[in-house]
Amino acid sequence: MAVIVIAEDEVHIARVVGVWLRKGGHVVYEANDGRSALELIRRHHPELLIADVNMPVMDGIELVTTCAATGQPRGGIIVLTSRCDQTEIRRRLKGLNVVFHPKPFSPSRLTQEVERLLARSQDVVGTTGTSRR
Amino acid sequence: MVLADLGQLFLLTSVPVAAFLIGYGVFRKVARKPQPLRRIAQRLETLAGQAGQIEIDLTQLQLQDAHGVLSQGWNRLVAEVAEARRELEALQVRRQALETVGRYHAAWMTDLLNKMPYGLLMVGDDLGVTFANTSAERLLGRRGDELVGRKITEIFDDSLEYLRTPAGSMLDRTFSVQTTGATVRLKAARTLAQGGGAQTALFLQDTSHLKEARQARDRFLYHITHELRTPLTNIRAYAETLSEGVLEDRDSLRECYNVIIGETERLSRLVEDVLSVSQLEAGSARLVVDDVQMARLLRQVVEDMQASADEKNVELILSLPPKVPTIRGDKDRLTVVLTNLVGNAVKYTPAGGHVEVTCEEDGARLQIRVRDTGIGIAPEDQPRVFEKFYRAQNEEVARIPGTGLGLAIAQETVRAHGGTIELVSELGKGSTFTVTLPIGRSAVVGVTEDE
Repeated sequence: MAVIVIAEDEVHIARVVGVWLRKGGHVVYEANDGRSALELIRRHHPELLIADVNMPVMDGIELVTTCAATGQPRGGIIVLTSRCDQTEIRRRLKGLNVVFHPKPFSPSRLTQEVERLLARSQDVVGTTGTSRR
Repeated sequence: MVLADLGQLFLLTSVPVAAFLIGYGVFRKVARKPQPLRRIAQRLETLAGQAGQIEIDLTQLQLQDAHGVLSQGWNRLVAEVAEARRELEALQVRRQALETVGRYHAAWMTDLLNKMPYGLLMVGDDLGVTFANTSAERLLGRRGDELVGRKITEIFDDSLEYLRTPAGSMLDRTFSVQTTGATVRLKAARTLAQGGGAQTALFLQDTSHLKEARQARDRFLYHITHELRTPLTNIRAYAETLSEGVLEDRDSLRECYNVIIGETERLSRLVEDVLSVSQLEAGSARLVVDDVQMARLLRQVVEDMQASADEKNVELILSLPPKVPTIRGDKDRLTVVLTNLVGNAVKYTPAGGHVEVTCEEDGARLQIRVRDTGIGIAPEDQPRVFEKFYRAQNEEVARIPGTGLGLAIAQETVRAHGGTIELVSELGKGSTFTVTLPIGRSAVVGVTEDE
């Protein structure tokens, strides 16, 4: 079980991703713009953020760079973007702990990606925990 | 011997004496009264004082013998000189005429070169510019005196040294002009050597519009792919949700199907809109022209929008005068225009606001006004709202879904009907769109109570 924040202005997309992730046993918070997402992240300290790029108020780029600067969320960030925008967006988010997921996407594949990232994050936490002991 | 000597002496002395006596006699004769030669001489002396008067007929002197022959020869000579002079005068007249024509041609040629839509620079073998036409001045953003006399290398940031060579005539390159920001395609052609050596004509074509067209096409594709992606994502995600059996309760399942249906409709509308705007822009849209009863059309549009207005708690009012003219136009396309305008008004008007549709006519034109108390359009956005895919750059607009095609379609359609569409708006107060359509000669005035 993990806490996940979805930042996506297209309500239907946010909702369907939420349905799949909740089915997987996660706690999901949905935001329709970057600023609201940032607020949810500060309040709920999620393991993972799934962010769209084109959003009102604060776009995905600004949201992701702001989050990455504070090391949030621990598990990483998935950026939903079309293949044609990826070059430019990859350039702007270079060096950050970000995974790109193409849009339109399959919710099952996105769910798999989420699980993979969470597992990786658990490993890191586990290793750190062991060394402390 | 003495006698012989005497005879010899006589002979020796008598011959010169006789010659003297004869010569004296002739001299006396000539000196005493005018002789033909003297008369000719007098005539010629008179002539010398009167330039131009060479046509003197010496036969009038009625000279005889050798003098007569001389005077005839003279007359022929005079006739030939006179003929030559006439020819010379004719030639001078022709030359003046040619000079006039030449001056006219030079002026005409310069005028023509200046009016060419292409820039022209003539460059000598020393790479100095010898001529620049008006288009070249405009394209390069420099006055004539800033071009003529300069080296071509000072004008283009390229050595262009190869213009000196025959291969220089192969030049075909595109430059970006620093001063104007224009993109210029440069083509060279060697021209015939004339006095000062061979020249190269440089033709300059402004290709900025091609660059703009390319950018517009790229923007169009960018917007299209973005607009397509969201409905495609939704259809894919909800279809997969259904097929994987992620949801079980009836309401959730119905919602999934509804999203798929809704997004399919959104895709269809988008495809229709894109086709529509492309055809209208290209001028290839075919209007199905018929008599359109505007009162009925407006009522239908408002009725169709009523549900959305009610849902948003926006008051939607239609006020029609007793008589609304029938106009000649494409009913379906005009319905799209007014649906877009009224739809936008409802969409961008917050709850509690109102949208009013009115119309009036002055016999020649019909004006339809869609006035709202919505969020309004900023002055900097106003000139661009009719551009396709353009949406006002603010957060409120970004929250409201839209493709930015509706107003582009409206404007193109109204134009195709020979009408205009105008916008008056104030940010935070509301917007008024006014569509003016010509009623036309074939227009029939219909009454509002036509149903």
